[in-house]
Amino acid sequence: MSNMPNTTAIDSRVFGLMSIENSKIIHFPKGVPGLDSERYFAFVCIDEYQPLVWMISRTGLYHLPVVPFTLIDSDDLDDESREVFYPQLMQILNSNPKTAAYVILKLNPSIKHLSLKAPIVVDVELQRGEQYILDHVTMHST
Amino acid sequence: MLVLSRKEGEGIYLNDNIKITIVEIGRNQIKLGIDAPRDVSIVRDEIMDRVKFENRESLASTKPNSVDLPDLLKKLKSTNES
Repeated sequence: MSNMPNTTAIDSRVFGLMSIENSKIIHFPKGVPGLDSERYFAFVCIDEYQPLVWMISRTGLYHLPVVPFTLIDSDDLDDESREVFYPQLMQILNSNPKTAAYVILKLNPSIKHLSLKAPIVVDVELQRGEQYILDHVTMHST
Repeated sequence: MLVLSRKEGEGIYLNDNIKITIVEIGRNQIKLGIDAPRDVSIVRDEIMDRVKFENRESLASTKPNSVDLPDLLKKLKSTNES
C-alpha cells in the first residue's frame, strides 16, 4: 500500500485553494510557450464554466481556458483551421489513440471562431502534454 | 547571440544531429535546409512569437463572469447538453 497522497493542493490565484486528483495533472516536458518555466498543469472542470476546462499551473499562477477538441464543430473554426490545421491535428491524434486535444479559448467576446494553430495535445495514459504549433508552410524532404 | 558567416551550400551543425544548410541566397531572402530528427519541432520565429503572445493573452487573471465568455461557449454548451 502506498502512502503517496492521490491529490495535490493548488493555491489558485483565480479560484482559491483546490484539491486536484493527481491523475488530472499533466506534465509538459517542453513547457507551454509564453508561460515561463511552468511544466505541470491540472485540467480542471468547474460546473459554472462547463464544457470549458481550465488548465491551471501547479503553482496556481496561470489559468488557461481550453475546450475539448471533441466538442468543437467545424463551424466553430476559422477558415485556416478548417482547411489546413484540422487535417494536421487529425494526423497527430490518429498516430496515438490515447491522445486528447484541447483548443485554447480566448475570453474575448469579439472572437467568434477558434484557431487550431496551437492545440494542446495530451497523452492521457502517460499524463504528458505538449502544445503543438501547426504551420501552413510546406516542408520539403530531400 | 553567436553570429557566423556562411556561403551558399555551407552549413552548421547544432549538436551532432541537426544540420542547417544555406540552400540559396536571394536578394531579400535566404533558403535554409534543415536536417533534424522527426521529434525536433521547427517553427518560424514569427509564429512562435504569435503563439506566446496569444497564450499570454488567453490567460485569465480573475474569475471570469459568464457574460465575458463568447457566444461560442454558449454554442458549445448547448451542443454538449443536447
